[in-house]
Amino acid sequence: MAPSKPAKRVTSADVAVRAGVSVSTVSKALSGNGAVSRETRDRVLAAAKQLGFTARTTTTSRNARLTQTIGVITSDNVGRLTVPVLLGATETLAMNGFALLLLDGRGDPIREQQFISSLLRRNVDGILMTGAGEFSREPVRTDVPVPIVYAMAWSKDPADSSVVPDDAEGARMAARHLLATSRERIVFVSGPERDDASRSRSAAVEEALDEHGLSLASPPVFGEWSERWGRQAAAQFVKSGVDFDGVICGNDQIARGVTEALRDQRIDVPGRVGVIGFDNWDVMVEASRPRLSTIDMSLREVGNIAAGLLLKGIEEQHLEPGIRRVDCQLIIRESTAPF
Amino acid sequence: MDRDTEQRITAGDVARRAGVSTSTVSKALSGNGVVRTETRLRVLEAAKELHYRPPLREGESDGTKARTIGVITNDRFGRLTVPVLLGAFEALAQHEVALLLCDGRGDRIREQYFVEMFQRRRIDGILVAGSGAFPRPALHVEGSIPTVYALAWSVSDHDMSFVPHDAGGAAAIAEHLLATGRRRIAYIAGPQRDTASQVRLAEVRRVLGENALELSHEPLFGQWSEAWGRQATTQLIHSGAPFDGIACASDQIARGALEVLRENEIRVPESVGVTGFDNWDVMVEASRPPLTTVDLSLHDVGVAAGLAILHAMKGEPNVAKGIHRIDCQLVPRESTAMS
Repeated sequence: MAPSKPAKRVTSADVAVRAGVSVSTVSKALSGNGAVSRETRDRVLAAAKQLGFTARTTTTSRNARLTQTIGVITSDNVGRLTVPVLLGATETLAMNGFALLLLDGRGDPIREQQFISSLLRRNVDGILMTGAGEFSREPVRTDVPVPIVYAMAWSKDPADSSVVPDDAEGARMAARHLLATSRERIVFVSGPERDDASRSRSAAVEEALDEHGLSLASPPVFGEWSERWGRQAAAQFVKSGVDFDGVICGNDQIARGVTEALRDQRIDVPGRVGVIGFDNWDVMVEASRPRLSTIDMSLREVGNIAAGLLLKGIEEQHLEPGIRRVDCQLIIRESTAPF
Repeated sequence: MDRDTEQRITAGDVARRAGVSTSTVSKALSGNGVVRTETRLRVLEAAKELHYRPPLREGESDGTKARTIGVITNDRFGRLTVPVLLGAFEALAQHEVALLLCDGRGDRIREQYFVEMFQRRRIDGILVAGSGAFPRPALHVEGSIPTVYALAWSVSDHDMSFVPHDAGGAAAIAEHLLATGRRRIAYIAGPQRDTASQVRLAEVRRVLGENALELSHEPLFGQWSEAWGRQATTQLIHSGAPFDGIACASDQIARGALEVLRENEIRVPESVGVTGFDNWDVMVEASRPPLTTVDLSLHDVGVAAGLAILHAMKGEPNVAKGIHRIDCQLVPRESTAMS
């Protein structure tokens, strides 16, 4: 969408009110695309003229409704986090008669640009950019004439629309849960420090502890998003003699590694230490012994909402800017059972 | 209907019908340039009445068509489907073919619904990705839309299916265990009724038979899970049957086996060699020790399926019907190293 929008735009909703019809009737009438009676069309035209409404000629005049297609550009080889987002988006789109054209940008801006051109040539009605994780990213080029929504990785341009899980709040929920199970000597292990998710979650945990006048029992440790790193970090904590009874992990793989290393050291989970992960990835949480408490990022819902926003943007030819944060959910399992 | 030979309505036809110039037609439909709303509507109506489909934008006039392949996935976009899709992407993306993605959820009614939607949208080809390697009924696809099956193969001889040659992989794993000096081999399978379980087990038995050997314990059927691997291994140990090799039908099962062996202080690979199947990086990465397994070449399966559709779309006659098996690769790691 063009970055500069007039301060008070007349929208098709305004025309609809004036003409006494629905927004979708306005779209159909102006696009010449749907079955609208001549007098209705004239009424809509007259209302549009009176209000000085200029339809976005690109969308309507390209018979966009004929394609009923959204282009999706993924960033990460359609990885584990993208899949549920795509599933959620597909569902919402399919229920509204839209299909999904999928292209893998691999997080490469040049590929993304190429794909956007290709999608526009195919007359897609909107574009969904899905990120590989949660971090900010550069916006795509600004002269795209259809609505664009970013999911997971949000656009740095405040005029863009993004939908992300509220993972900072999720991290706070994890901390509060450990506190609620009477654990107060908490440590934090996560993926690389340069990853936004690591930094925002560690800051959120420290915030939540601070609310209770507490702080981490040891500085946060950063490594990889892997079980191996979880095992190593846990071994490090034990060896260093830190006194801890709760571990907040940046993801479920790390949490599983931590749990296994503690078990190897004959430290009982949850008997002596509570461990909580992040992701609610069934493969990890179910196979872990004990099964892992974790934070579910509601990724399907992120996909649902992003698709819904796009559909709305296509209908009304206008997208509300800003970042929408979707609530996470605390999932409690045996690894944080109270003492 | 063969689109290549269909009579083309031109912009000139539309211009005459609407009483405007062809450049006005072009501006009205592409959205480039200023056109009065009433004029644009007249052009759109004329275009609709004549069933006019505007050509792609400039730069596309060299005859390359924007093609689309409908893809139906069936395993919740799981870890099997994604590499197949990415392989297909690669094969198709260079030819400007995009994938229209739908989630069949293993439900034939949903699949058929999507096939009908693809037909309405006049898609150029259909790829049906299965949730595993087993036979499945053919979909009903009208006309000559090329349809290819990947992973799960169609039972119809008239269809093209691309599957990993997992029997070959199972034979390779058995030969590998023998080559590393193991003779008393046990087998932990998935569910008994699963084709993959049966095929892989049969091959292992066949290779053992050729070497005048038998399984040292009757095969253990259960689930495709770590928990089953743990339980089966516990059973195996308690049975008292001697064993120096455990072949597992999947990496998840193998991981469970490795954990129980560790807990019982049975050293891998020194006392027992353990193998998995899949080469799933998440399982393999975290296994202790790293797991010998078979890679399903899913990416290659995807590439082969993509190319087959491409050739079929171009009307090339050389694509054979039936099941095409793509070789799997043995990936030896520490869990079967020779002492």
